[in-house]
Amino acid sequence: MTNWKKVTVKGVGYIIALFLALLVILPFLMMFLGSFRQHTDIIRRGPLVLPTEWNLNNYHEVLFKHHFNRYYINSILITVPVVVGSLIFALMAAFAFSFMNFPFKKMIFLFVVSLGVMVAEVFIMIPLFQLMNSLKLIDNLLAVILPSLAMSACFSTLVIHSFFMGLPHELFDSALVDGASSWQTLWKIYTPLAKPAIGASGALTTVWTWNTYITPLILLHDPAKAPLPLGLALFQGQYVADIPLLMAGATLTALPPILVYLLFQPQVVAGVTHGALK
Amino acid sequence: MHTQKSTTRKKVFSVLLPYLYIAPMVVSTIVFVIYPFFINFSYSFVRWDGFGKKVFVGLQNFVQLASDERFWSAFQSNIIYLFFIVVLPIVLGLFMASLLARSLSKSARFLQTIYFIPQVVATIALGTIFRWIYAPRFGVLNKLLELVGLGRLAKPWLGSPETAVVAVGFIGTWAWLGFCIIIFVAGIQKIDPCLYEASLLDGAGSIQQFFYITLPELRFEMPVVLIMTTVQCLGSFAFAVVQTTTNGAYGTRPIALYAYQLAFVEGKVGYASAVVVILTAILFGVALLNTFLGEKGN
Repeated sequence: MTNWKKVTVKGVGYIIALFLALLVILPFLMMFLGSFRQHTDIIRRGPLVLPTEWNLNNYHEVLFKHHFNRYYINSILITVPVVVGSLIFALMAAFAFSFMNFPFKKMIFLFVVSLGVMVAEVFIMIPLFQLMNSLKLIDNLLAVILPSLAMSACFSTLVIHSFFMGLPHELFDSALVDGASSWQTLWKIYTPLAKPAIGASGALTTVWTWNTYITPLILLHDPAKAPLPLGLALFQGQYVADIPLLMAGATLTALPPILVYLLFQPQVVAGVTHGALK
Repeated sequence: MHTQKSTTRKKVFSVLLPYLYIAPMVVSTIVFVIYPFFINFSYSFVRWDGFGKKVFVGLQNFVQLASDERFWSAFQSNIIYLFFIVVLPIVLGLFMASLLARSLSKSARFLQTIYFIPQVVATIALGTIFRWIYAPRFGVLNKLLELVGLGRLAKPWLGSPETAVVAVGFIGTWAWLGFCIIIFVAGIQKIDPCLYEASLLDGAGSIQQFFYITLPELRFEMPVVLIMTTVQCLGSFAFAVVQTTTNGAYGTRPIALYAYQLAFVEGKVGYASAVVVILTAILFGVALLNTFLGEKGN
């Protein structure tokens, strides 16, 4: 009796879970398939059919006629320095927070790292514009890079710090006894050890920085400086009607972070579930 | 003499050393995150177009807010989004997670990979896709309704005041449900199975198990999920998804988008900052409520 009940619950659970996965995937499937069609074809045959021919014309048009190639370069120029810089900053800070004792350590951690993780771009958008304007950085990619770097560094510090705290403290002492400076200890011993934490926070900050929208919207007014999400929004404002072109643009924007996610999938999910919980 | 000088130098260095390590992170965060965060409060007490002179007006911006219809309309849509982006994903997520965590641990991994995908795609892209799904003609949802014989229910989902807020809110439920499930599944899998076995001997049913074991044991996961979804609901997610789908028409504009339009379109920077202050207060209110409930739960 209970066995039967168990099997039924399992079966029902499985069906609901699969249905939910289908619900999540379906919009992305529509996006991908739609990106290969023609607008007239959608009007004629409706939204729910496969493309008649598979060619990259829409992608070619979006990339080269509607400046998505430029947006791609801008996104890369923003994301790479943010991720690399924030990881270096975070490794250094997490190292000091984990293995060194100094006055105001707890206070700095609470008021800089914890607050820095909490503050979202919406809460600072107005002063950020004023600050970047006075630094003459409007329409300069640095205006987006600098705040993103700081926010990413806070998050990565949190993740790497909680990873370091799980390591035996003796490791630090024995390395110092061996005559290695703390600088060497950080980069030669701890950084290779911290690979899982670096992978998790690196992958997540890559995805977040790639997708960031509000800071570029406010700080980059020149369309030639726009990264992909802002570029897609600008494109949508101009070509609302052409569904396949919009889907090609959305696919181009969505694909890189999905690939990064699938590549680092175990670390990303672990980073979210464990890193965020500590 | 020489050695003494070098040892003091060494001592000073070793005292300063930790601060040198944290300096890049701390300085960049203070300059580009913490300082703007706090200076925003002072902006809320002035009348200012963002370029000219600031005129101190005390609490006048907040007084004006109280009778600003556009603000209350934005406030109302944010409350509706709180239901769709925070409450609904958490409740459904709890239900799904307790159903999935024990029964499909291995296959769940593959499903979890899929559930998380909306989290890694730019909200602007999600909005672009759903604009097509909700489109009045050639839209996916209306076509699906027609196929199952419910064609009379077809409507311009984003283009009418009755449905627009719900249609936008549902995008949030769709995007955040998977995130909630993943966090809760990880939490439930950490719970000692002995607790469930012991409760079975006491004759507890699965509903009692949920309320007396699963829910209290998720006390670490709950605040994380609550804060993250609330931040998104008040912040960038609602902002970006509304901007791409309706651009704030038909009562869909959230508070954050209203603040943006005040500051960067209408040039009322001081007043917009007051709106952001209210937004910040709401977030901290939810965070406080969260710690309060957490303590009570313990």
